[in-house]
Order: sequence, then C-alpha cells, then structure tokens
Amino acid sequence: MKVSLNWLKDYIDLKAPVAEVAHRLTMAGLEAKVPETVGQDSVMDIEITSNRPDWLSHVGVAREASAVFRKKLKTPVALAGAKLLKSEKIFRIAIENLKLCPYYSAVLVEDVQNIPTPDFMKKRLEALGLRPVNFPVDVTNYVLHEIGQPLHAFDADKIQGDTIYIRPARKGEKLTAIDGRDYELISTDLVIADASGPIAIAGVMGGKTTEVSAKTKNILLESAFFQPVSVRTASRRLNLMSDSSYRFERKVDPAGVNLGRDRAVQLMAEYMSVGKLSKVFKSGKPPVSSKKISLELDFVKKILGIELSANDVTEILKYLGLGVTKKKSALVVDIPSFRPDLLVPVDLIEEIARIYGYDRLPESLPALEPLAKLSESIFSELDQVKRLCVGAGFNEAVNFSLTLKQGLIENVSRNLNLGNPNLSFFEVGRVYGAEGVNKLPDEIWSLGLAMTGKKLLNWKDKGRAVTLFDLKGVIQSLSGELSVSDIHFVESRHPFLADTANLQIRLGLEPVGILGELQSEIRARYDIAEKVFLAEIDLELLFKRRAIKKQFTPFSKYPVVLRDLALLVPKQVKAGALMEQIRHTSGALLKNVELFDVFESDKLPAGIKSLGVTMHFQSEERTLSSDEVNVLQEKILSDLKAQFGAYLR
Amino acid sequence: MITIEQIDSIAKEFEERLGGVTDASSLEALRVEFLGKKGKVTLFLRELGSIPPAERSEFGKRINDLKSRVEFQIAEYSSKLKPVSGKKSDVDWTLPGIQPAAGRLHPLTQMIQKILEIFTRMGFDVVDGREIETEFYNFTALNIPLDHPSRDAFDTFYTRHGNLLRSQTSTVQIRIMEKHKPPLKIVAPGKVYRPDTVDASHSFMFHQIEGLLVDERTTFSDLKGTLAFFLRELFGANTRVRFRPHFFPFTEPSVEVDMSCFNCHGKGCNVCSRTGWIEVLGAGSVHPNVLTAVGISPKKYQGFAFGLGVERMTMLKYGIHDIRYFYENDVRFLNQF
Repeated sequence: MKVSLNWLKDYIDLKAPVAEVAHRLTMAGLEAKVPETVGQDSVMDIEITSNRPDWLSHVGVAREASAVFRKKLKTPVALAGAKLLKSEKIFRIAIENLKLCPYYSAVLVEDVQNIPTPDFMKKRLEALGLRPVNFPVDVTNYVLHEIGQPLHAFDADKIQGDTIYIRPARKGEKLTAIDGRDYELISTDLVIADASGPIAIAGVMGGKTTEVSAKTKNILLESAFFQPVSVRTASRRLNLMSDSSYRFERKVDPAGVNLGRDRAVQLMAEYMSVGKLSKVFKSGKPPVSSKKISLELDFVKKILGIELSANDVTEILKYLGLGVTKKKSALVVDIPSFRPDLLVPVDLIEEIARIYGYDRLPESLPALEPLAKLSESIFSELDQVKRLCVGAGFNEAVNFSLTLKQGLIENVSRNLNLGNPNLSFFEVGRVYGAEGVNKLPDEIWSLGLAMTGKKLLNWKDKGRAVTLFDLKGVIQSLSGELSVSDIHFVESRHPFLADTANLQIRLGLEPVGILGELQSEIRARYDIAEKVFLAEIDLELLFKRRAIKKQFTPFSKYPVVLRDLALLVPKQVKAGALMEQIRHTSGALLKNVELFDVFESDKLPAGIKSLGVTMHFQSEERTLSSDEVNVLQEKILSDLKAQFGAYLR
Repeated sequence: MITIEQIDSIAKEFEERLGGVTDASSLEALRVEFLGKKGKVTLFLRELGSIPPAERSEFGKRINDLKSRVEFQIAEYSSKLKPVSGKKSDVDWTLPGIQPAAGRLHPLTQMIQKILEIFTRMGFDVVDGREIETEFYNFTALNIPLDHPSRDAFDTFYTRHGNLLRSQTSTVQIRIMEKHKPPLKIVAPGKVYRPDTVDASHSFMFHQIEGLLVDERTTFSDLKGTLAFFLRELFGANTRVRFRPHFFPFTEPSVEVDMSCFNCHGKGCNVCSRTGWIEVLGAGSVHPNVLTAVGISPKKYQGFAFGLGVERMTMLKYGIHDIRYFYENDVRFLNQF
C-alpha cells in the first residue's frame, strides 16, 4: 500500500526524514520499500500483512508511527453536515441476510453542484497512484485511504424505486460494473439491488448504470459492514479485486462505518455546494464487540526472554490505541474494534516486542539438553545411496515431475540436444501410489537411474557404448553397499521398456524395481536417437531388507588356488546357470567364481560360444594340494558337460 | 646388560652422525657401523637373549623399532645422495590425467546437507514428512482459516480427491507433534508446491527446511540466537542478523529474518535491492493454537519454529540468478558444484 508522508503528518507530528520513517516502520512490521519522491511529497510503498486491516489507511499507519516515535495521534473527526437543509426523501434499506451484511447505511446528498476536485486532494490521490475521477467519487476514495472505510456513491436518480436491497444474487442476474465488464452473478455473490436488479456487487464494485458522473445531481452515499468471507468469495470467484474488496475481506473497523460516511459528507459539504441532506437510512447494527485480554507480566518474560516493567508495557500498548488497566500482577487490556487480530495474550506480546524493538532483544540459545533420536531417519540412508551413485559417475538431477523416469528422460533429451552425448543421471525422490477418497497415497522414496552414450572415453581408452550391464552393475553395487542379499533380475514386460531389454528387479520373490532399455517410441517422442538405459528402484523396500546386523567373518589363513576354465557351450546356455552349477558341484571349497570372458565368433563352431571363468579354491583348515583341486575340477567339468554340454576349449 | 638409556643414546647418536654424512661411501660406513654383523644395533639384538623374560618383549620392540628406523633413514638418505641423471623423460606429462568417472551431488542436495549439518550440531533431529497432505495438516492445524486472506500466501495445488500438495514444510510440525510429546527439536527438509508462475525467482516446486523446538522454556530471544548462529555458520562470521516483525498464522510473535548483504556488507547494492539487507527466513514462537490443535498444552509448552527456502539460500551463496537452472539439470550447471 502506498502511503504519503505529507498525509501522515496531518495526524502526527513527524520530524524525522522519510528514510528514517520508512526504516522504523519496517522494523515495526510495516515493510517499506525505498521511498520515492512525488512532487513535494514522499511516498512509501508498504507491504501490509493480512492480519492488519487497520494499517490499510493513513490514520492506521499514523497510529503505528505514533507508537514507534512515541508521539501523540490526532484522528480526524466528522460533523456530518449539521447546517444542511433536511431532505424529505426516504430510502428503505432491506437486508435479506444479516450474517452476510450486519450493517448497511446510506445518506442522500441532494442537489449538488459538482466542482473540480480541490488541488490538495488531487495531489494526495495521485501520489498514491490513483486517477482522480470526479469530486464525489474522489471523496469516497480519499476517505477510504484516510480512515480505511470503503464507501460507494450511487447516482440516486438512476436508482429504480426507493428500496435498497442487500441480498444474494438471483440466478441469471448480471451486472455491468464500472470497470465496463459484464459479470454473471450466482447466489454466493452478495449484491446491492434496486427494483430493477443488482446495482453493485457488495463491497467489491458498483454498477455502470448508477455510476456517479460530473452531471450527477443527487448522490446516495453508501457505508456498510460486509462480512469478510462474503466479499472474499465474490471477489475471488469473479477475479475482481478493488481497494474496497481488499479492505472488506480483511475486515474493516465496524466502528468506522458511520465515521467514514460522515467524514465524506463533511468533505462534500465543505468543498461543493450541497442543497439538502437526508437523515441516515440504515438497517442492522455495526458488529462492534468489546473484548478484554488479561496479560500476566511474567508471561512477557517467559515468551520473550527479557524483563519489561509494567510502565514500559503500558506505554507501548496505549500508544497503539489499546486501553490498559493494571490489576495485581496482570494488565487488563481493552481491545478496540480496529484490532480484530488481537485475540490471546501472545498477540499482545508480539505488539510489545515489535514496538520495544526486535533488534533490542538479546541473542540467547535454548537451554534444552540433548534429546534421544525420534526414529531412524531415512535421510542418512538416502545420502548413502546418493554417495554411491555419485561415486559411480552419476550426476544428481532434481525434477518436478511426479515420476522419476519422466524427469530423467527429459534431462537426457535436453542435455543431448545441448551437445553432451555421454550422460549418467540419478534422482532420489518420491513415487506416489494410488490416492483414494479419505486415503492419502503412499509416497515411496525411490531411485531413478538413466544412462546413455559412451564410457571410459579418454585418450588412452577408446571407450565403449554403455550397456544395460553397466546399469545392472550399479544396482548390484548398491545392494552390496546396503548389505541386501538375494537381489536378482528376471525378464519382464514393463511397457516403458524395450521388449528385448526389459527386466524386473527382485528381492527374493518381491519386485523392487525395473531395469531396461527405454522403448524406442518413447525415445522418438523425446527426440532421442541414442539408446537410453533406465532403472527405477523402491528404496524403502531395499532399506527394509538390509541385513540387520553386520558381522565380521574371519577369512582362511591358507593359500588360494586359482583355476581358469575356457568353456565352449551352446549359445543358449545362461552364464548364471553355469556358474550356479560350478558352485553347486564345488561346495565349501569354492570361495568365488568370476566370469572373465564371453566370446562369440564365427571362428567357433556354429551355435557355440566361449565362457571364461576363474575359480577360487581355498580351505579353512589346510593347504589344498593340486591333486585335490584337479579331482574337483574334473568333477566340475563332468557335471558341466552333463548339464550344459560344455567342454574345454 | 643393555638398558633403555643405551638404546635411546644409540638412536640419538645415529641421528647426529647421519647429519654429517656427505657421500655414498661414508653412508655405507655408517650403515655397517650400526646394522653390519657387528653393528651397534645388531649387537643389541644378539644380547636380547640375556634380558630377563619379563622385560624381553619391551626391549625387543624398542630395538626392532630402532632397527627399522635406521634402515629407512639410510635408504632415504642414499636416494638424496644419488646424482641427478640429467636424462629427460620422453613422456608428454601435459597429457591429461585419467579421471575416474564421478558425478556430482545436485547443488540443492549439497546446500540441504550443509544446513542440516549445522542444525544437527545444535542438536536438532532430522525427520521426514509427506508431500501429499490434507487441508488439516497444511492449513487448519497451522491456524490458517480456510477462508481468510492469510491463505493467499499459500496458494495450493489440490488433487483429484481433495488432498493437496503441501505448500510449506510446516505440515511436518503437526505430523511430528501428533506422534511425539515434547521436548522436541527437529528439522525437516523437503519439497513444497505452489501454483506460482515460473520466472527467474519463482517455481511451482521448491525446497524448504522446517525447524521446530518445543519445550517448557525456550524463548523468542533463543530463536534469535539460534538463527543468528545458523546464518553466521552458513554465510560467515561477519554476517549481521536482523529480526523484523512479520505475520505468519502459525507463529506469534512472528519474524522475518534478514542478514546483512554479503555482497555490499550493508551499503546497498543490486543483490539486496539497495537496502543492505537480504530476507532469508521466516520464523516465530509457536502459536498456542497450533499446540492446542495437536493436543499439547500451550500453558505448559512453548517454543519456536522456522522455515527457510533452500533454493534462495543456494542462489545467494553461489550467485545463481535464475531459479530455473536448478531443475533443468544441464550438466554444465551441475558440474560446477
């Protein structure tokens, strides 16, 4: 909200330069941008928090300044046209729902001689960035910015009939507002209506037909209290905000409704010729309620951590316009109607702290002793996964999308287009399960991986295209790092993945993720020419299946005997099955078997491939003799021959 | 019989004599004198048998330590005495090293880790929270009425079934306090969502870190000290911290925390919109209504809560001028951190 320094000075004797005023208001919670000079005036743009409708006026800001600078506040008074002739004309006010509009008042200002808006008023409105319209309308805007009460001026001669209805809009009703746009109204919109239909959207905007112009002779001036929710609902639904709706939805001061109307009449009568003035037509009552909060002085110290005297506290609260009576160890504080935000004692403590100065509070530290951990946090495990991925050469990505796969494919596509052909990405994020009525979806921490291009690419190594086995290896390292045993991969038919490279990752029988090559149609849609390998893994399940306790296993003191076998086998033989057979035949003496070569060539007999394996034999109790190992090796070869038709190359 | 003093004195003698060696032949002579068949150290080893068994192992250890030290120092000294060959390598050592493939953690992850490290040192426990929430956790329990202008600051994505994507991590306060009784001291990092128009400083998804401390006596001044400590740890010891009143429905008193601009140190520049201060945090004392909503007595318990934007902190720390860089995952960006 824009605030004119000259205008503020009407109500408070401010001597400080504008920069200091802006700074001190900022430090009291009215965050002011760097002030601007407008003509002879300085204008501050202040961010007003939604809890402080009372700051949405110059008087309200002046009241705050009076507390900040400890200076007296002079508020404007209004003597509503005591000297004017009484008009006989009568308007009836009919409020259909007192909940939505607890109080509505209007006064008829008759036979006016319109004048150009006086210079001082024009300048002030312009300083706030408002465009002067005509004098009566400018008066309503002036009063709104002066004391915060929104008003509306109707051209009384354009009103049909002599009853003003405040009611929900009827089905099918429309209004062309003064912004020139047509609004279709529904029953949640509160309207002001005459015999012909709506003439204003209550608290939001007036209608075109009854708009006051320079030629208007008779003005019906409205001042009301509309329920904040009602104004907010209509304003949001119609996407129509005005200075008026902004104040009503935050709650105007119910005690200011009559003041605002009287102040406007006074200004009109003061500057233009007014013939007659009606009595005030009204219905309902301004919902002014009295409220008291008892504040124990000890409580101030308990919350803020500093001791303040009853006098200091009383002075601050009084400058803010609150009534204060001391009662033993407490202060009983009267809350005026313009402070709907003050409800409980801590609200008063904030007032005291603001005006005392947050800057003057000490920087102390909590005295709370160390606490036991609440529960095993998943973040340390997630960090462990991230470290492993980074070590494996993957860059971490952060995406918006609700599936990891989608974000990673976009990242690959984008970076390929930017000329980075070799990419490895991972993302740790949540994957959402199904949502239901009254059921929040599962949110499962998961790992996504994507790879494309070449690896080991440098001047010494020519590099090679990445394959699915690179990604499979990362997942195997991960399960090793996390002490998860029994991870395996079975062929699958995930629709996202190519038929020829489509695996499900399992822990025992439980599916824990997918691994494969991105399907070519999806690749094409993202304009990716290269093969992309993808994986997605449920980390929470993986964490659950971790070995509960790591236990050291002593290793043998006796030498290892290594034996390599180059085996010729039919092409369809699976390396996994072959190695499983070697383990099975060898029993406990085999510590490890590794595949070191897979060779396929037309130099080999048709339908035959060569597999090279290294076997590690070792005993826990003695040095193995080579005869002993030879016997075992013969047994292995004969089993492999029987099972797979394998023979030594 | 040998004594510990003798061993020490031989060690000392060796050091002194080594200093005087200038060529290979005198070094060899020194080696023979100490380690030769009749060398001083060798003789000690021979005499080991005559040491009473109770002390033998201690002596053995000392003499062997001495022996290996003498051996190493002679080897080291002899390489120093070797003349420089003058032969040039024909390998081109300007060829790049073969770097192991290593990725990088996303700068947001790095910043989250940095921030959490500071708070865990102060004794805060790191906890997790949900992203899809109900209105109760995102608004009602946080003292935000469903139909009030205070909600405008928290515009929200709703799901098909009337749930929502949390618009702030304060939801975690409620989740944790429902399950655990005070005292509590937690921090919770996570993603939040707001239907903002995306531009250089706005994104509809971003990261926050929430903090909460509830006990029987922690004050607003303790909040000030805690956040000042945190900001100085993160941005440097010269950082000045300013508490400015603000409004949040779930805290009272509420505060926005500014730190002195790291770029101009308070003089005013483009980074701080000429104010000398940069807004970095929102915080306050926990509102009694929030405690009541989770069944904790505000008469007995009190405390503070704070929330900070990770993207903003990261942008400030590294001079990143556009928030969109974080989510594009361009490797030219990621590889800088």
